[in-house]
Amino acid sequence: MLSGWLIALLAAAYLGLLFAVARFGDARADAGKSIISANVYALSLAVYCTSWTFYGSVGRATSGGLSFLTIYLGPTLMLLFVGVIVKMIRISKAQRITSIADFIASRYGKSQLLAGMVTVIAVIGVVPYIALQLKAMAASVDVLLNHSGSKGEWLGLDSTFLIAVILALFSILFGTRHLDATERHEGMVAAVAFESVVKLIAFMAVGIFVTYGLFGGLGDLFQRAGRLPKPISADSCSSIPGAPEPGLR
Amino acid sequence: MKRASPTRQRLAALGLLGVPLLTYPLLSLPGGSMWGVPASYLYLFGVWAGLIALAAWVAERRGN
Repeated sequence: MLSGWLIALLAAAYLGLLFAVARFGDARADAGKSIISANVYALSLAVYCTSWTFYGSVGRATSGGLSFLTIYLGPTLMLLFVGVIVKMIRISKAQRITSIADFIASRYGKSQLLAGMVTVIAVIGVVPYIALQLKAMAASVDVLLNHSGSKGEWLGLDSTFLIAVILALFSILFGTRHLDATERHEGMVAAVAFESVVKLIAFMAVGIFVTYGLFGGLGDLFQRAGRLPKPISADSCSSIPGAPEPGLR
Repeated sequence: MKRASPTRQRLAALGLLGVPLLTYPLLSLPGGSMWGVPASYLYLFGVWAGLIALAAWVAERRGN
């Protein structure tokens, strides 16, 4: 059975491994031998699959059936409009723009007021999203800890707070270490790509377990799905994908 | 106005094809089942795989 210390040790080891991958990526970039190939870059695009995606998309699948696929189909379609993205990158590089606020402001005559407004809107928009991520991680840790009978706090500090501190440390060390924000953060990209491989393996493992462990294989699952009234219906797509469902705890 | 490269234009066209294929009027068409798999599942994953395959074909071919 997993004890609290073993979980902490494993989490620390995994973070250490991510640090090592990021360091390696940075070192290789400094030596002029970049490890960022097309495949590594493609893997790093899965950064949008956050920790909440794991809960959100599984939750969508249980409540809305196939509508969970929107989380994956949308980005697939968006990436086809690569021309727009390349254009944005070219403008950002030419004008040394590092944030979406500066980018939008530069399109409208470098308006300071507009840049400030975009910043405020972005901050307001992203705070609940970050809170969801932290909640997802803390919930996962608590599930493991409750399973082993220990409590999710340390020195009276909440597990969510501890996770936030560790993550802040990680991004300070590898995201904002250099003052020049226009340069490439190859270590970060390498760590994200490595994480994507871990996510892929985890999703496959869960998929195989659910298909063959909880149900009687793919045939059985398709038969059950076929017996549902209608796999896709208009009302199953009515609510926002990825949003927390009241019935999902 | 400068035109985007042919590859990017083709990819954008593929995206414009994908949007109606994966939205409502067309999405409600497949019914029943084929080879024991519900047709709507086959349709969604088929269109998705098809888009990815076509995008890979457009992006990887060189020269001509």
